[in-house]
Amino acid sequence: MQSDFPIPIETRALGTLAYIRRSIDSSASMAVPGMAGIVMGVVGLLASVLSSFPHWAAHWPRIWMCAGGVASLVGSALMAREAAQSGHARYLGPVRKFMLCLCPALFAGGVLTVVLWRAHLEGLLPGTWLLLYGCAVLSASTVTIASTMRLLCTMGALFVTLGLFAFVLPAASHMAILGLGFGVLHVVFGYLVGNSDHAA
Amino acid sequence: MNAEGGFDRLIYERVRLGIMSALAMNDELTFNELKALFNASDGNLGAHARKLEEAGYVECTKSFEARRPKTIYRITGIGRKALLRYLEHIEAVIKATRRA
Repeated sequence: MQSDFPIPIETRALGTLAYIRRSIDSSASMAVPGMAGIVMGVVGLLASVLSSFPHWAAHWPRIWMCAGGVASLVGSALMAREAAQSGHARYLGPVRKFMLCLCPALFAGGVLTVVLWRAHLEGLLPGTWLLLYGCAVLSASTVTIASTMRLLCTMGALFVTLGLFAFVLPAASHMAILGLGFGVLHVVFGYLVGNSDHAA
Repeated sequence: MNAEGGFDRLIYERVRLGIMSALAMNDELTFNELKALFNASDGNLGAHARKLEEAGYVECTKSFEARRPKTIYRITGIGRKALLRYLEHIEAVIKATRRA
């Protein structure tokens, strides 16, 4: 039903501009499901709990690497499901850009993990993981849709900050910092991204 | 050219404006990608794309991939200029109404 009141020409022009922006945004950006962050965060929290048990404490690098692998797989599967549900399964442009932004820092993290582990410098792993994961998220956030870009950018910056803290704080605090980053930050920002999806 | 006093009625339509905006930001998009983006039916999108093609705003390449037809759209130089002109027109409308 049409309104009896005329729509001001400025409102119509602004609406058109917003529509153009949305069209450009959805064609060149990727939607990240909030649930992926929440599930990855839960995996991070489990790893944090497991590695805090005295019996398992010595194996913390292995626990966290396994958790990283599991979280990556689950996160990728949830993103693929989101793409399929939104009908964008064949639309690979933004996904390719997202992966190109995400992977270099993650690859560097993988290489440094091997190098530091072989050099018996495990104490530097938490800072390296958090710093490089934060850089990966910061970079990838630039190709996500406008409603989540700022949230992911903030999350990346917080990961970088935690990474820097991990380099200067004593080793006793490392498990808490890893849990705070890969657990709590993922859950909180996953929830916020999920809410912003519904609001958009 | 589909312009009336600087106002392009061909781009004014929502789906066509969306197609032009999306193509301006991407080197190329397939028919299925555009269909998913604008939640349009085959017939609806095809009709809009044909109008843009007839005006020379987009160019279309048809091929086969794994025995299935694949239609790729690209924006032309004329199309890009038309979109810019349209954006300038909207900008001018907003400025003029704010001044008034």
